[in-house]
Amino acid sequence: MLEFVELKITNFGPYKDTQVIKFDKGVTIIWGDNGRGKTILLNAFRYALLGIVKERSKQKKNNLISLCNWENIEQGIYEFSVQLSFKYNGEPYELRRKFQLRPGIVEPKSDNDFEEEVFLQKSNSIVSQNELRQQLTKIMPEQVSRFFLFDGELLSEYEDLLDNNRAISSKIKDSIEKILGVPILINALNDVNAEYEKINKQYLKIANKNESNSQIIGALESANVKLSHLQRSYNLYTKEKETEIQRKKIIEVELSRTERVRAQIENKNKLLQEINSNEERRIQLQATLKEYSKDAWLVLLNPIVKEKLLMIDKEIKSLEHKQYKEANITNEIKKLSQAIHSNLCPTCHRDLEEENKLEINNKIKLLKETVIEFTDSEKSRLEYLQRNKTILRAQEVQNIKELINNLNSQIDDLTVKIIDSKGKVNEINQSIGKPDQYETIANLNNDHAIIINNIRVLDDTITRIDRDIAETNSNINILTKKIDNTRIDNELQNILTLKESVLSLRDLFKDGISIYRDKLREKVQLDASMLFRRISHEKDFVDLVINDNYGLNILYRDGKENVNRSAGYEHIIAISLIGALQQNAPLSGPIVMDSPFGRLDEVHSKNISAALGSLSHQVILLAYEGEIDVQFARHTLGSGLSNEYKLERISGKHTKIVEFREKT
Amino acid sequence: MADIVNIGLYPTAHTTASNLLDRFDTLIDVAKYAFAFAVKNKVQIIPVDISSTESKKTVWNVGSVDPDGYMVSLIGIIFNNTHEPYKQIEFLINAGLLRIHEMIESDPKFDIFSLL
Repeated sequence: MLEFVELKITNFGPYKDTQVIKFDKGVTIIWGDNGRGKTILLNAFRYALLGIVKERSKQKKNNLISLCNWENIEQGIYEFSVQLSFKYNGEPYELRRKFQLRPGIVEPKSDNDFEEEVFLQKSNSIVSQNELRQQLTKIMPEQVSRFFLFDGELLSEYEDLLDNNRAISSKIKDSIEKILGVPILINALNDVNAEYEKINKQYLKIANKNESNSQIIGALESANVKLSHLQRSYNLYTKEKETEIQRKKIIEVELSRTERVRAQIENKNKLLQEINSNEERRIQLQATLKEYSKDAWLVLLNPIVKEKLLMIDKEIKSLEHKQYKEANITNEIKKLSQAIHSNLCPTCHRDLEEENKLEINNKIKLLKETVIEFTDSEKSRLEYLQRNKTILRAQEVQNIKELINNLNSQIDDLTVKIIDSKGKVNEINQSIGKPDQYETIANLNNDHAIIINNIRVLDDTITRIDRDIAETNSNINILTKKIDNTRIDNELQNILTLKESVLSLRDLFKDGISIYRDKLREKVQLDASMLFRRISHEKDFVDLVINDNYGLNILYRDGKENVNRSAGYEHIIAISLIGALQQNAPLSGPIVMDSPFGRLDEVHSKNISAALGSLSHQVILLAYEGEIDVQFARHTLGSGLSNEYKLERISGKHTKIVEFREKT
Repeated sequence: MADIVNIGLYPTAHTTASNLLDRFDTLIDVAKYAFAFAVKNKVQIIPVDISSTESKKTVWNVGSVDPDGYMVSLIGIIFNNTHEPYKQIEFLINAGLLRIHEMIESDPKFDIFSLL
């Protein structure tokens, strides 16, 4: 059992100089507002125990620089240390880790510019550097640290345990089995397997001496070689599948992260297509319009030309009338003159009497008096007007006004659409930025489909190899039996007996692991359910059921599983699981939780604080006052609340750890 | 005095005509449209200010602008004037374009074919 006694942190993040936190059994609450350094404190525990710090930002490269005290950095001091005093199985330990600049480095550029010193003292003796890592791994293996040091983000990973396809679920499952002690049995099984291989080799060697067996032995050796190849291939493809599942997960995260950007890129491409098609259509319409607009000037002149033509027509008519009249009278005079001259009546063709002649002469005289001469000038004018009329008529065009206006308005509409679409494209460009990443983002769906296909192919391959392994194993069994049935001498008999014993032992361990796993799952389910019922205030949720990965599902009163649990319940289940694991694990230690109530409502926060004492013998809670009520925590935990500290702001770069609990 | 043999556009008229090339095929098409507009609206009512000191930006041979002589005839018919017709045509083209320029200036959404 691991138990913290004291943590001394020196110049670590905002914690300037040396600051001390003491721990007793029970719950220690460290209160701190956002930005005071709660997560850094969790990191200090992690660093002390495991020698690693969890990066908050994936982009942060120089992690160690950011862990040096922020005020010291301004003075060019780059070093920090953490000293943890603890008891392990009753023995006192003191662990000190320190990072400082390598000799010759004044201002670090990267983590490589730092060097680390680690000291471990057990009781009164210093543990050698060789044994140090081994000791620390025994006390707190990194793989199980997730059950002792965690924040809200880590808790949310437990949701993945319900999904068999996620790589993280298998990782957490391994961690859970590790904390529950399953690897001890697995290691034993591996040892038995190794022993079996050794005995099998001896057995084959002895059996080979028997000539009659040599052919079967040859076949058996080939089968064993084949089995070994198949197992290697199986491991290789399984590993490859795990890598692909990991890649799939990364792409799925990326797909989800870039969902909005991808939708915008898709929308942008649609808009760009629209712009192109509208621009092409506009060019076509413009070409047609340009053909018509060549004659637009004539259309514009139409009214004035028409008006002029009317005037010309009128004048031409008047002139022509005068010309016609003059020609008629002149013609009449000519005809009458000819009658007198020929002495013949122009109508009846009889000889004219004197009386008739007189009458005709009078008529001629009267006509001559009536006739108005059509002058040369009038004749020229008429010709001029007729010429103009022809000119104007020649340029008359059909009324293409409507056609032009129609084309023009279609072009205007398209122009508005194009400008509108371009505006939207600009908005999208400004919104999504970084055009160099578009292609990568756009390819995500394609990559995802490829990976799913790869996983399917790998699954098929693994199934096929698995089948071949079973077949080869069965073949080996048949061959072995054949050898066994042949004449055997004492030496062979002895090794055969040994082989059978090891095989029995192997089966025993296999069954043992399976039974132990089932029992563990049963116990974890039972304890997690009890804890869950204490925390949950939903009366319809009566139990938790466990799956192969130790993922827990909520069971309704009617026996059905809740498939759509909330983020808050996700949290409660994770805490219930951690509590249950602590109760069933051979390895137990203090739990350090950073802001664990972020997703929980008031009732659940209170229920969890009330249940804190049952999670572990030592619980260290990093919380802000709004997350959980101070008075309620004190009242509920009562004597279970052993210490309280507050992270007090000295400046934006300096936090002081002060004792907070009001002494009663 | 002999008539001109080349017809040109003054700078503002040239810019205005160039800006209309999305609706007309050539500058000559725009020039003729402006000429017709000036004729239709009777040149005297168009307030024009063509500075003779400005150099012409685009110059065409009269045969390019009026290949069949219709514009010259029209000047004669409409204005009863046959004295230096190409000078008049040039004036009317530039005057028409300046008026169009003013209309575009006062209304950026001005539609050139609304004159029809």
